[in-house]
Amino acid sequence: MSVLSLAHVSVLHHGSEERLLLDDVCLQIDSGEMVGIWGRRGSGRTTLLRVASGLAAPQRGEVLFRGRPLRGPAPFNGGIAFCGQHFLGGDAWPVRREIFEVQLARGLSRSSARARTSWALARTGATHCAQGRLRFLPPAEATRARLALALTSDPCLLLVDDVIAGVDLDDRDPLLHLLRSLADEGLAILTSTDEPPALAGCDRALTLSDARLEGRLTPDLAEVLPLRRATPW
Amino acid sequence: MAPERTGTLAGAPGHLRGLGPVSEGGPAASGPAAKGPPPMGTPPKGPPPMGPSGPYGEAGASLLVGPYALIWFYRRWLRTHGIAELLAGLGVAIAVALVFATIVAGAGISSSTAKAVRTVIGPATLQLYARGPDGLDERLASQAQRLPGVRAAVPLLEETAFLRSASGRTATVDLAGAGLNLVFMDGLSRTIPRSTLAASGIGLSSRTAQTLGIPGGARLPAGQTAMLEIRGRSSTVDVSAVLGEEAFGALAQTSVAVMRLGQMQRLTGMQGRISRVLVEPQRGAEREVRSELDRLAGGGVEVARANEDVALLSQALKPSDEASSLFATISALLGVLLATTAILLTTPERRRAIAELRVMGMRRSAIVQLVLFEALLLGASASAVGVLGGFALASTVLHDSTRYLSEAFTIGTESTVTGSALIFAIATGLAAPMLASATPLLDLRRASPFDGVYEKDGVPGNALSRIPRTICTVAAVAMLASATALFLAARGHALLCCILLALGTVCAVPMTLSAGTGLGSVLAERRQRLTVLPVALSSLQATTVRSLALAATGALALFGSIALGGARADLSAGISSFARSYAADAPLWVGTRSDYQAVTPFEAGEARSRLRAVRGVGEIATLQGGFIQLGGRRVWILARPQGYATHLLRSEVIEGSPQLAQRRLSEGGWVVVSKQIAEQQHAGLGDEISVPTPSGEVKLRVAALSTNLAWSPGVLIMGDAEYARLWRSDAPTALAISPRRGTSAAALQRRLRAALRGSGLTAQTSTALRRSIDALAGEGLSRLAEISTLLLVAAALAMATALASAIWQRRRAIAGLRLCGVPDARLRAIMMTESALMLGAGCATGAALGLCAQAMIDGYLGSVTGFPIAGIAAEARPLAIFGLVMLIAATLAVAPILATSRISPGVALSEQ
Repeated sequence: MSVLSLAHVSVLHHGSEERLLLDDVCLQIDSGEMVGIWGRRGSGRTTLLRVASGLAAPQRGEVLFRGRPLRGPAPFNGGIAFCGQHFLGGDAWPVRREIFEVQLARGLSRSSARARTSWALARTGATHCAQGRLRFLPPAEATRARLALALTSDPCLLLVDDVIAGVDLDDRDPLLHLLRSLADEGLAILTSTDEPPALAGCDRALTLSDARLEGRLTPDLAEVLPLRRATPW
Repeated sequence: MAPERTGTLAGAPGHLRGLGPVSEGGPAASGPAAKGPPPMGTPPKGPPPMGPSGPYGEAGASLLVGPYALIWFYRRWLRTHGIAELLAGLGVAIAVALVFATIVAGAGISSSTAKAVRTVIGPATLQLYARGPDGLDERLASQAQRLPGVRAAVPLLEETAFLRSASGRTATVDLAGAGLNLVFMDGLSRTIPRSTLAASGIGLSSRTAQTLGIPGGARLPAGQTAMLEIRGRSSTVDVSAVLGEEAFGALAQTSVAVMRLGQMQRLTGMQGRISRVLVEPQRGAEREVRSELDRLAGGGVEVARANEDVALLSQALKPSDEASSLFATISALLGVLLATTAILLTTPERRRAIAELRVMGMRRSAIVQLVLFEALLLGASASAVGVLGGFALASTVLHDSTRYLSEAFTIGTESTVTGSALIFAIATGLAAPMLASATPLLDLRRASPFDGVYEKDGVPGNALSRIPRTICTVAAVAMLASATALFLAARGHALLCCILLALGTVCAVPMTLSAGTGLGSVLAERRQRLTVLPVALSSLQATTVRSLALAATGALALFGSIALGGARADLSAGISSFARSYAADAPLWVGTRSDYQAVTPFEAGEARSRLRAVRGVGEIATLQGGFIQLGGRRVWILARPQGYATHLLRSEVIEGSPQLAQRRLSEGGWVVVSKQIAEQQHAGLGDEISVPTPSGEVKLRVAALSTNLAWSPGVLIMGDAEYARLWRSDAPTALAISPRRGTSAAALQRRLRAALRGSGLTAQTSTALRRSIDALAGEGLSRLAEISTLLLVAAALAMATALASAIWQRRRAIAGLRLCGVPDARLRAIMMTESALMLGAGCATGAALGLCAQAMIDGYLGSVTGFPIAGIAAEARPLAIFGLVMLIAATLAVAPILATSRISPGVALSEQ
């Protein structure tokens, strides 16, 4: 069973003028698979991620998460995790404290929260920047911190928006390696980008153009796109 | 590192960008300001240039920012912070409404009563009036008319009467008996229908008619009658006219009725008697007429200015007015502070916006103008809404209850909107936002980094460093100490003390909130299972300024509610205690209806014989009373047989021995007098005071000093024999009935009522009388009750908007937590804990200092009004208020918390 399945999904934008953001989009993602969506700005990439996470409801079609229809916001605790560029849910304290408090808010005991925070920071290579505040971190470190926060919910599907946006060239490949390694551990990852280099490491690369998704929409016969060698962090 | 932009100036119009070098050494090359002018031929999207300069400090630029630019920036601000601004404006409007309503309501009775008195006396400047209830000889009027220099002398008979309409509705009125000559003298002859005083009917003011449910004007049905009870007599009279403002002037809004003098004399059994003679001297002859009147009056009749009632009423109202003024002023001050805290809630956003503008390179003077312009617009809009709301409150919720004064005065009840009330309310609405908006302007100091708000821990703009906290703590302690010392030195400074305490309450909030969060941290550390508490504490620490503003709102709410509500309750409890002891001196009371002070005399002969025939009636004692003018006061006189003032004296004597006083009263030559009168007459225990009586001025010695029995002008208690001798009257104003052994008071009351049916008298038990006095005295305090209730409601609304505002500002962080998978129930628990911590710390501070203020107000009211006042310890009221406010706060917090806990997680992904 696919972790995420989009069947004939269409989204219409009701603004000053009506516009089709997604048109009859079909997509399936399995565990351990990393799928990259490439499209220009305004092509509907973010809308696709929002639909996949249940944050936006399609006018037509169906979204299934683990075989069940997704109605309303996704089960973010232990199901889907979202890692977006604008995620500023907490930026008052250093990253470690922010992540730790989110664990407490979820109901974990202090020791469990502490252990999970340390694990997530270590897993994403963000331990060294854990005492800094998110808004002052370089983009790559900020992305690692956000990924750490996302991983603490123990998701089976990770949605990542513009993973390398603003990240220095030198820091991009380690980030892509990190995502690939997470997929290799069984996590399903749907990432979107407007920069083709960000598709490295993906099992499938799809394009979103004129609201339509093109490419291999199902996981069979997928080949991993080659990654460049990266210096370990 | 550059802070993340919050979009305040993102998309600023082309001509506002790239306006030359930045004068303050700002980052000219960073941000949109450095992008250069718009392409040639591109029309600007924003406002036209700001007059001779933009706000960015070009060489030779004018210091003033143009109005269009100011509006453009404000519109941008509203687009991103519209809801927060709306809630802040609502908070200010509530405070302005509170201020306006309390000031308008405070101006009520005196001015409208003066109008009513002027309508009665017309051009008359002098009067002769009776010292006793039996009135004057009617012939005095014609004698006065013949005096040299007198243009007109008009007789008037006045008595409190009880009316019952055919529909069963009742009204207590001042009934005046007059002839057409009064109407001619007052100039009302062209407006009042002649039939009013010519026929054998009664003319009602429109207010009285309204109370009785009788339609006025052409709709007055022919043959409309009313039952009139007066001086223990009952009769049916025709309603001949309903007199509206067009006919009766200011009297239309008072509870009065008029009838022909002869008819009223017949109905009251006072043939040939009148209450007073109004005298209009010829021009320039007033002094001469006055001396002639003095000669005519002899010793047993009083000569005074015709409008003396206004002065007497002012005196009677003075204590209550002063108490109301104190309450209104404290209430207004709290309104100002609540308005300020409402704006302070938005301080973090304003600080961030200012940082943005500085980073963009905007001149500091331009920023100041923008901020003050925003505050001005917000204040003006909120003031307009607040004044309208306040006027609605003043004319609907707040009303002058004057029934307790109606025995002694003709009272008007219109609310008067004064210019000063309007100016003060609007000034509050403008000044509070200006003051609160000025706080973020501190970031403009040269030493402050441009983006300093982003460097501190916590949500940007919320940091409060140690120095201001310490200053606040020191100021709070100093204000508390000063208020205490000042009050101990002079009780008259209660208002200043309360102001100091109110300011001290606000200053103490940072300290108590820190203490609260510190305690919470210790608890969270020790109890590892408490996982919600540390998150809530952390959130509070991250939003320090916002939390302090909310806690201060709660503190002010509690301070005002406890200080004013508690003091009013103490006063009310003291009056209840008086009512209990007053009524307890006789098991059953018989008297004219609604005459709770027992001051209206009636013929006892027939009543006594009726009462004697009732089974179970034991002893019947005659109680007497009335009013006299003494030292510019309308003093209440109580004359009691021996043994019928025991409870009263025991409860109300504050200097001297009640037992000794009682013995001396029965001996004669002694009186018990309220403390204010004794102080006014410079008399102590055993000293003599001069009392004007129908027998002339007599000297009586002071047996004891008492409270004023909740009658603010003061009281004089004497023995019944003394009163009968001096007032030359044995007419009772009440009869005290003792049941025979084995007869219950309730059963006897029923039998007495049956026996008295149709007599104009009624019987009631001491319990019923106590309740009536309680209710009546409570009405006298209604203004205080209304102000304290209004404050409580305003405080609750202020807390609601503050909570909604604070939670609204947290919505993005809450959405972030939802996106992180935090369950809704836990989010609600976190927000509730946060709110409870904030409001709990604030409310505890307010409650503690509110208790201090309550004690001070109690002391002040005791010395100013002379009313009996219960101690703080006698009432559990502060605890009840604390519980009530916390309950209201918790209830009010539920809706925004529920709404926010369901906010879409997508909000966390949106741009700020």
